[in-house]
Amino acid sequence: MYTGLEGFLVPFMSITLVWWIGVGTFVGLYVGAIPGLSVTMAVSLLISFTFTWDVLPALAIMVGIYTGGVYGGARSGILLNIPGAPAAVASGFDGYPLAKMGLAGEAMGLSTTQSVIGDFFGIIILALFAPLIAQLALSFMPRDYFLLAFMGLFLVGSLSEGNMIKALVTAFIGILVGLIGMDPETGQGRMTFGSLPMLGGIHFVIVMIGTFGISEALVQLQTKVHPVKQQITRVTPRWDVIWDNMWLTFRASTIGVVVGALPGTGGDIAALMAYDHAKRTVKNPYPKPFGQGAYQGLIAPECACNAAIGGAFVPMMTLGIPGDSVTAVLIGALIIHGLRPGPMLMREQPEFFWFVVGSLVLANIFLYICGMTGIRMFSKIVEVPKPIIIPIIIVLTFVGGYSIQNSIADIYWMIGFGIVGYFMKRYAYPVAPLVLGVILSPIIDSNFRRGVQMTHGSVMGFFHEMTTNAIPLVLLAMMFLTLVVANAKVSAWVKQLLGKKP
Amino acid sequence: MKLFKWSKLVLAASLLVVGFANAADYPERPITGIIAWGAGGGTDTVSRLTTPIAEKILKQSIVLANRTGATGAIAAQAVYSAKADGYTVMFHAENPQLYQVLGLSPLSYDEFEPVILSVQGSTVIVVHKDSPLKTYDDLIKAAKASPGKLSIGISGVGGQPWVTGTLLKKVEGVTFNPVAYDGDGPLVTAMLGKQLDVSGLAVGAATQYIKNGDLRALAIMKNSPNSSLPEIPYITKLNPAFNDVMKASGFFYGVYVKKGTPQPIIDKLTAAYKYALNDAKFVDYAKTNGLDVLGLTGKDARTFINTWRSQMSWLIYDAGAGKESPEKFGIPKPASK
Repeated sequence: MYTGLEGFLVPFMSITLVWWIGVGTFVGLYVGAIPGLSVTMAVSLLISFTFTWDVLPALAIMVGIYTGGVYGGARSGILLNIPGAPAAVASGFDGYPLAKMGLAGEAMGLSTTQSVIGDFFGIIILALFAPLIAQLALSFMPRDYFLLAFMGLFLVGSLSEGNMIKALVTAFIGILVGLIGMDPETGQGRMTFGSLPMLGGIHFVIVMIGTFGISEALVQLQTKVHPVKQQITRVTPRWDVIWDNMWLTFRASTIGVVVGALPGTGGDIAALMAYDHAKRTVKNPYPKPFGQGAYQGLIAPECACNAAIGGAFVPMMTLGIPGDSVTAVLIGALIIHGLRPGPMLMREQPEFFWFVVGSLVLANIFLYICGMTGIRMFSKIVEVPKPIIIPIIIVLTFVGGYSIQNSIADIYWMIGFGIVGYFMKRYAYPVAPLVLGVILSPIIDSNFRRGVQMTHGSVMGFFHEMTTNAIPLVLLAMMFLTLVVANAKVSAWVKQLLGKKP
Repeated sequence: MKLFKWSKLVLAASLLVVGFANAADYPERPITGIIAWGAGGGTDTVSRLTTPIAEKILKQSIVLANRTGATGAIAAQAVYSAKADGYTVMFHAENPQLYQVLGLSPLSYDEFEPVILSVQGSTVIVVHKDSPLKTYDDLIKAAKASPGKLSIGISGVGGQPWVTGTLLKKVEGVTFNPVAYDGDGPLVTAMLGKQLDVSGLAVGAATQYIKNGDLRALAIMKNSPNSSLPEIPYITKLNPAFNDVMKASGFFYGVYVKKGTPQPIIDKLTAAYKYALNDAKFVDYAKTNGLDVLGLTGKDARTFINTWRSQMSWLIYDAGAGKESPEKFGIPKPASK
């Protein structure tokens, strides 16, 4: 594990590598900030671009883009309430209200410091415990993914904005939308109405851009709100805000690393779960409650989605299995350069592993620099008049939406979901549970059926196995704790039941 | 009225010109490449290796995207739904040739034009290194002792691991409990995590784990040894009863466009990918990953995929696993028996 440590210093020693990592991080930040333009896509494009390069600079720029892109998604979430990437959905929940209070600069500053901390946390775990975490990732069975995604549904409660029924309604719509398309096992069409384009399903990023992007543009066009004058005197977050929330930062980063390391889940789910965790555990958020502008509601998802980067590299480097869609493309890129990540590479060229760790550290340093210097300019976006900024947003979302699968049908879906999202916002139905449902339902669906196949078609056997294995028991215990202990009403009721009457 | 006729003629002529111009200028914009299998798997790797070289010849980028699920039928549908203009290219394995018999989709390669058949590969039967099954015979004995109990990883009905299971059923009379995953990548994960008793994997996807000792190879589904795993026994050596069904063995990866794509466009793509197959880097990759470079195009490619289809379709139908008779789709019985 610690052989080839000299590889760590390689990216720092070459001015070309430093340059490419810096460029990658900078470009990634902007790619990430534009809704629909994804890191996966940017890295895929870079494969052809860097085909004739040496492997090290090619990898350096991709690592930079990855680091910058995951972070960049939060920018548009904070400033416009339109997340630039799925991993940034949760960052807008409190980031946007903060911006509306005139604290956009501070929110972005906080998002930068927390992203960098989360990133470093992920890198440290990658460097020190990669084999251990990889084993954990391998022990995750279909039933565990089922439980994890099921636990993700608890988020509906956190995202309800006060009306549980309405949140459940949108979550159910999301789950239904997630099931559209061919059955993962039999290939039967589901809810396709015999239409060919629907057979492929609806991409969750399309739903996200529609319900968050287009609908927000429509809402903002209708409401005449004067732009908030931003206080950009303060960009670096106050030290006490960071220090007070160190424990939350640590917990959120842990969620990020573990969820990111699992081959079936990525930063988007990590960030949502971390937000849920923060909302349930932080008793006194400030300056305002969750959903209205709480620093804690921004800290948790930002730490988690960035810590997930280090997590995603764990199975990629140690096992040759991608931890998320970006690392999947990275593996492809490395194979093209004649390197196949995995156990053999770890043994034969361990310095390569340390090169990746070094590049990630360097990218993270650039992230802090690029992130902090761009804030003043970005803050101005909020002050741009609506008739100028909104058409730009709409054009960008269309470009982004189309580029995901080069499918014109996706644009129609995006507009459709935009209109649905508009009415949901008008009638105070929260839109986030809808996206949550679309993300989670395929995971629940395919893993449930996979799990049942593994118990020879016995549903009882599937649930029985949950009670006889360590990981599902831990997950069930976490669910129980979330439901009972973190819920004031239920825990009061339990205390009463146990006879602790006041 | 006359004017109307004239305008029609002019319109037709201009359309024709536009059509020719399109073919001559092809490719004018980035091409979409749809990979039918998941990232990290065999189809994916071959596609991602050859495409950048082909891009250089075509002087245009090919944007690759994985569209997985339903044994690649989702990708086939997507490419079939797109225009036949050469701007949507499909990277697929052998699976579409079985869709009809399996009732997965009305599509087959009859609806597509092969640009090139890149490589042919084999499936290797693997177990985890801690498995009590040391040899192929152990596997058959264990499967006979408890029919339908051993979980076998498949990549959907009709995928190569599933075909392997069906072949074992036909020849050895053993049955397994199939569990579906999204391709080679997730199957490797499941095997390393001991979620499954046994699985078929593409030799290319499995080699590094076999060499590292994480997985144990029991047999290669082929009638000759494999260059990257020469020490692993091949199936016809273990049991000569496989000789008949191994005549059209394994799987192949290729590049396709929708039928109706103008021939000049197909020729351009073919030339680009043919060049890519001869690239030193790719030849190296194929060698170390146990893949044979095919490079079949045009009529040769069509003959190959149709022969493969008759052999496999009838095999599956005779094994009682097909939903529809191959006869219904005019698939002839394999010529030699």
